[in-house]
Amino acid sequence: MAFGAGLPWIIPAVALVVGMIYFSIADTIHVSTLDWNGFILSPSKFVGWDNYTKMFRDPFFWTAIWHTGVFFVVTFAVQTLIGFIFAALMHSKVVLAPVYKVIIFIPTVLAPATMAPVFRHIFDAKGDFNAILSAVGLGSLTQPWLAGDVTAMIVVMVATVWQWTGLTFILYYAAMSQIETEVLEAARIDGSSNFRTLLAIVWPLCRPTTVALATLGVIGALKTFDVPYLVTKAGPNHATEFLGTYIYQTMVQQKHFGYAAAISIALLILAIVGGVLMRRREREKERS
Amino acid sequence: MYSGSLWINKDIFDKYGLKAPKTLAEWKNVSAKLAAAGQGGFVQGAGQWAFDMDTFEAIMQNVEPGLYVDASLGKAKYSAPQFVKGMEIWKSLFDQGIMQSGAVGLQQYPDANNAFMSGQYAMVMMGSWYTQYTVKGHHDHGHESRGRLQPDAVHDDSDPVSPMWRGPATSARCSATPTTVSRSAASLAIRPLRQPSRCGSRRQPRVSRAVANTLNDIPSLKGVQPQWDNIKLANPAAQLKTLQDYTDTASSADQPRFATVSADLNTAFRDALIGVATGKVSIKDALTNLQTVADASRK
Repeated sequence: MAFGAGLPWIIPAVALVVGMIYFSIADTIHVSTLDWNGFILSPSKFVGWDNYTKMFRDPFFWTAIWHTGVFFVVTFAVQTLIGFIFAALMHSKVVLAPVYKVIIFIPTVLAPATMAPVFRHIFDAKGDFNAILSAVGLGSLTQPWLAGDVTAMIVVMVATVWQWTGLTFILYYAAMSQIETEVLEAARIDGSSNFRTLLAIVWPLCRPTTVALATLGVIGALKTFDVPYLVTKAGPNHATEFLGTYIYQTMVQQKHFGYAAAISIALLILAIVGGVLMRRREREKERS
Repeated sequence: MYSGSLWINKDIFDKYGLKAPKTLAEWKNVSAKLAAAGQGGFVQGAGQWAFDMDTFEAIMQNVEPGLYVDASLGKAKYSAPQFVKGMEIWKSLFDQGIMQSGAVGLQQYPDANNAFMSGQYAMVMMGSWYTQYTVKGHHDHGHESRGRLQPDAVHDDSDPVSPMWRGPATSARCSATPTTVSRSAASLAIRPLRQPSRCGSRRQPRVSRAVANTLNDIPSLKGVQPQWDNIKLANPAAQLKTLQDYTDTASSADQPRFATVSADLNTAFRDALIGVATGKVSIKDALTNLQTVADASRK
């Protein structure tokens, strides 16, 4: 009876979730079994698992997976390091701290489409980054950063770290605000240095935030599209190809909707598995 | 739309006492002289492969006119020696100092366009849409371009290594009477968007002429030409004759730009042209893959 009374209140949310999200997933699974160009008037052909077998044999799919893994490890590590340090600094009564907070967070709210041409300009062969290197006597390091396979990926990572470190910072800042001051004072009375306190007390107490950021990072890395597409067009030579850019290429540019849907389902499964593994590992840690 | 043309900043060329190149050797020579003077030569956003395809199609039009389109229609093979020659010329642009360093990392829009318009570079590959920047108001204020822009003269020399002067085009012209609508693949492809019945309307020529006078594109209606006397060019003495020749040549072109290239082949061209340019893919492998994709697309 109690369930019946509450039912009308949750129907809108249930309808939204089931109707939009799960229907879309079911429809994508259906499309992944078709050979179809996506045009509503074009005939589609049922091909079963063919798109999936093609996917497992596709070197660009595995390249995208590899890039996603490397991208996650590097960007998560760098964002965590910088965000954590910034948050700690902002808690140490820095002059003009509110201004710094805004400056650090602003990139998070900027559209990648706005920043993409700027990053290409900065890392062009005649760009600002090379000019700075030359000005400080490191002219031998100058190069067309966007034209090399490895360097193009580094630029994509730099753009991502620049954009999302603000979010990491804000979450760590909030987490640090929740730490009891008595704990920190006790550490100081025991003679702990600031660095030691940061590593031995603050960092472990921020662990739930780190886990949440890691989970978001895994999902974000799997969904990466805007920065590599806008800055490097997933190139050169697929050097910055991700699952998101590859899905876009196969679906929008090549009109292989069935194949793109199969890769989308793979992305979904990887995101779910990644999130579940993160959560399970956290629970095991809590138990131990 | 007509593409594959070399546009030059004549002020920069005049400053260094240079003439617009007519052959690959001259192009290389001009690029070297500009580089020695610390001035950027040719710029292309080679990461945006549609423009790479324009340049490559223009190269192929000089190697053997029509072969590029024939291959996309299955009437010729990408393994033909002419394509090997075309790819060698394409690669030489990167290896012999014509294409700017890091070209494959940039986009044609906005990067290469901005670099050319700001005077950082003296040459760029663009199409008929670029004629709008020769008009005075547009030229002086709209894009703050420096220098007088003009398309390089259309060149009829049969020298196979003058890659930029017989560019391809879409032939999208329809007559003032609907009975003579062009039957080229390009015009058929765009017809649903253009409502062909209006080709014969009395208003169309006047409207088309008004559009033509903006020099934003080549008029699609046969018989419609820009009214040159009513157009205020930034520097008529330097631009008018060249623009008139360019418009005539573009109007007479009948090779499609992308219409015969399938979506898969388009992507394969990206991998082929950027792969060859960066040395990651051999010319043989690039052409073999193009043929494989072209064959698969026609099944």
